[in-house]
Amino acid sequence: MSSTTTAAPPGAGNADAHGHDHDPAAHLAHHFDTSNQQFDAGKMGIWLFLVTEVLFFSGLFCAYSIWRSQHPEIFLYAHHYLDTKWGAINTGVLLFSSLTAAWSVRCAQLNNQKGLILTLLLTIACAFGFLGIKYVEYNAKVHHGTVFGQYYKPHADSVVVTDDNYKVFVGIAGDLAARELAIEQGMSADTPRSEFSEEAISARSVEILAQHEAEPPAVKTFFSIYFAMTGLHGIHVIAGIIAYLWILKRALAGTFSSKFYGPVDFVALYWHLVDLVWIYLFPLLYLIN
Amino acid sequence: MSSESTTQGHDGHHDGPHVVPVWMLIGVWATLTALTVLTVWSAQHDLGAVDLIIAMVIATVKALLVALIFMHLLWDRPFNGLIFMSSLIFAGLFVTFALLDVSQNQPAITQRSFDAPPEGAQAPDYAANYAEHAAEHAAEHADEHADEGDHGEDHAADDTDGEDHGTDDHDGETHTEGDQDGADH
Repeated sequence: MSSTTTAAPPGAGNADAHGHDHDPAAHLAHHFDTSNQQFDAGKMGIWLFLVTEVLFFSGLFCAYSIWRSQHPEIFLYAHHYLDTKWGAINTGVLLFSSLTAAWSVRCAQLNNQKGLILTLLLTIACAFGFLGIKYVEYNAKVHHGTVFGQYYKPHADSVVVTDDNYKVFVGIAGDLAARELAIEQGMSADTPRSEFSEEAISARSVEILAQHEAEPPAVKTFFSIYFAMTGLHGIHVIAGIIAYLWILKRALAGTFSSKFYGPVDFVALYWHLVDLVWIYLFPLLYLIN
Repeated sequence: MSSESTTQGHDGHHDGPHVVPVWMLIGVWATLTALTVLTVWSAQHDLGAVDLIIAMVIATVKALLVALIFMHLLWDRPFNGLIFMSSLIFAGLFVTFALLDVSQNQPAITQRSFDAPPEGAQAPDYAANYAEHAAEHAAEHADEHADEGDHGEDHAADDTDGEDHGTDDHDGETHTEGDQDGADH
């Protein structure tokens, strides 16, 4: 229990008793003989933890697979509510943070303290950037009424309009309404939506929706699975930020070196897993044809 | 530096912990970014049924790059790789067996989804539904447009008893339940 406080004396004692290169360093917990043993145990521990994480997420991936195989039309239709641009940017942000996370391990291995702190800061900044973009996306969904389960009540002007069994994306009702109104009033077709009253846009949106195919039943379930998967992933990003702030604090205190970089490595492994999950989530949610 | 880092090596690893060179880190990152661009590009072109397969193959190549190089699995103790693989195998079994079960019923499911929408699926009046939302939308701006207030009132009242699942979920639940009933009888 009191591993860190009693670490040094037994470690030193062991080194004497066994007479080979045991490490009496301060970072060595008393229940390990050597730094290498401590590192290997920690590494296996984090891999076992990642196994539980994969299985944890696999429940949602399984639910996704079944739902999509049963109701492809809902995914085909509802993915138009997601903005591929934001999804792709967030993928880029997360991939870059994975690069800086991997680089931070390299810096620690090479005793590069400045590089370590810089890469840790970049990783944390990217994590916040990811959450910021996620916030923009979630906020738009809440604003448009396109949220999960019983709360799915899309406002007429933000409903996706499709044709031909949801294969052809016509547009967002509000945008189409603004375009029609602009043309009717002899204005440029590119007149921004804000030129018209919300009432006019909503009323025209309802008319436009009546002229096209209705949305498939139970679109709300797409949003349930979207929010469940990205939400669980987002919670992992928050946990990653907390873990990295802890690593940063220790790095600033000069704890890590080429002889002791285990925690940097282990948190990076966790961070890469968060990236791996997103690598699958992005095409599964945003890129559907 | 490299002589120092060898002190970290496990007894069985005489080459010490692997320090990934900078060119490799940046190369992997550039490849991952390029693959992301590729998958977005391919999604914008209708490639038919292979779309999902292409997207998943690209995602898996990306995942392998991250796991083998960023996560050091290429140079890690093989046992750690084995541990990680076991989770993927079990996740794969989980999804595969669930899907096999689903696919047994796929013809009936497809028919219900596309050819013969379940009873009640047509019943909800979408236009009226959206009109309600439009009214709700207007009610949100009731401060600015006081005359619009009465439009939104009944819907706003509907909203306040949101806990009452019976009324709120009405249109959504009827067809899914009708669906299952149809299959049972």
